[in-house]
Amino acid sequence: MNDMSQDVVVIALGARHRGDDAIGPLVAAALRAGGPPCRIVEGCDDTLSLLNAWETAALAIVVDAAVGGAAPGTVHRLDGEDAPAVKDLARCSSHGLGLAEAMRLGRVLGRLPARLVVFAVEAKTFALGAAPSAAVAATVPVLVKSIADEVDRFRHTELQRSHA
Amino acid sequence: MTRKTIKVDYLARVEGEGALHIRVNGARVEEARLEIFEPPRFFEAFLQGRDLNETADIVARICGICPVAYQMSAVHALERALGVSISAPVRALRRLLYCGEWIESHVLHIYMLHAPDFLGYDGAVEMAKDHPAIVERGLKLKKAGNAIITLLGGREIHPINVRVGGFYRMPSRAEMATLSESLKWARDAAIETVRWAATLPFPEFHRDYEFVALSHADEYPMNEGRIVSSAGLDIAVDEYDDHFEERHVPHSTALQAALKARGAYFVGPMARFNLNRERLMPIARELATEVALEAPCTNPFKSIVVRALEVLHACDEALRIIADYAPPEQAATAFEPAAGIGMACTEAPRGLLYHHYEIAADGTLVTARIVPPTSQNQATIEHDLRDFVESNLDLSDQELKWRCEQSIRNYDPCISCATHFLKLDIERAGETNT
Repeated sequence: MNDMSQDVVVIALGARHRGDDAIGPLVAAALRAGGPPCRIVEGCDDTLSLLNAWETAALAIVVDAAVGGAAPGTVHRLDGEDAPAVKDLARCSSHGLGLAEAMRLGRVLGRLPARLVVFAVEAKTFALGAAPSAAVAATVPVLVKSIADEVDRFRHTELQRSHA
Repeated sequence: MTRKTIKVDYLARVEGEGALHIRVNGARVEEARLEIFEPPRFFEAFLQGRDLNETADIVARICGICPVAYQMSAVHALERALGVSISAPVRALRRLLYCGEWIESHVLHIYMLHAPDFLGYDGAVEMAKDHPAIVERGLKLKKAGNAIITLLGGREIHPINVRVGGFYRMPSRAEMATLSESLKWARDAAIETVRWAATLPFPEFHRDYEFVALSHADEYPMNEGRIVSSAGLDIAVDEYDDHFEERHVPHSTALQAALKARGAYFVGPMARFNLNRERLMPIARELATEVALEAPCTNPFKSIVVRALEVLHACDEALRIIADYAPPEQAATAFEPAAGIGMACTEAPRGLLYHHYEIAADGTLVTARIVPPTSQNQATIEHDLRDFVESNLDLSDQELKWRCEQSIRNYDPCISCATHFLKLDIERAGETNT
């Protein structure tokens, strides 16, 4: 990890053994194996952990499973400004505390990262012990590429800004 | 005679999946059920056959909020089975690790889950709009707990540094010193938290509970002590099964624990405080006196003040342990696997957590049994709901529903541990359902 990677965090949400909820951990593993330099955080179990996870980030990318009515494997890209949409799409946290609340709380307290992008993947199953569905598993390389593109765009913008 | 069933479809701000069903007939509550329908997770079954050295890391996965509690009860039970003694520095560091978890878990519950109930907000976000400085204080306070877990546990979530006999790695004195500054701030913030929590409006509600907690001669209970109760129980941990039993109830995938002789009992911060008030750190005792919180406190709504006191205690004790710290030569006591049976109780943030293991000669686990605090409080929560609803039937359905949710949150239930999200249904049949 170099210094540049400190400003970018990928927050991977979900449980590995709950079917398509595993999308976060799967993407985290793929990023570790060959993704852009970034900090990867897993296991945020509550709203405050999420706020802490993106506290020092200039760019935070969140990956989570979602139930929004589209076909399983559909990837929704949401901006930090889209908190209400996240509320509708992101998974219903088992703790009653989740991403949407963290985003709303972050906005109220002025604790959102400068840039926040959410990739929400439509899930098919959350069954205990189930493997992820083929449609959702197939999004992992797509998401890794999308995350790399987001990081590239962010770095490019930062570079332009520093030269301005 | 009006018959009603009061329903709420979803209870937020608790951990895990469940529902509440209350049936009212006239002035009487016929039934109050805390239904836990979360699928059981079979941790005890899949520990069987695993190496005893894997136990601490496996049980840490039971709960994202209180993994340290599971690790502590597990390693103490296994050490008992193996006849392993731990060094004084290991004992102190385990206590410090537990302080970190108490701070994290209690602060999350006080600020994010419970306080909005008292102040009439739907949740922490709405509360933060009007009280941003208070929520900011909670956020920063919780981080002080996180820092302890991260240093001693090896990482913030699901710590990995705890082992039978001690730790995998002991921190240096310099690493420990890095915790002090944030903890000193946290101690002051905890004092403010106690004062603030004590000003919240508490419903007037008392019951005659049997409080059960560990008790230790010299310290506020965490990792060891005898099991005592407000009704005179005073037993060693290895007598637990003689006095307590787990019962199947049809409406719950979690077992309900009960005292064989007297049934429902109450574990957690209020039980610890009521049975151990004099062993709180002096600063916490002084604050308890300042806010006029005396033991026994029998109003479960005041549990939020007790949690705040325990946060203060944990911050102060953490600072003491850090100041006294000298790294030991050995991070862990060495041992050889041997057949044996061992059990231990420690004080999880939510209360007494019992683990019982049988180990085979090759060091694999033959059996594992875990009784989490929420299973132990489940019957008491149901009794509270019954009594509260019965004595407050004049309240509107909406207010009654809100108060029932608040009553459940008095116990900071972790249904995830007990078996995950709670659906709450309060219906009054004969009237329009809410």
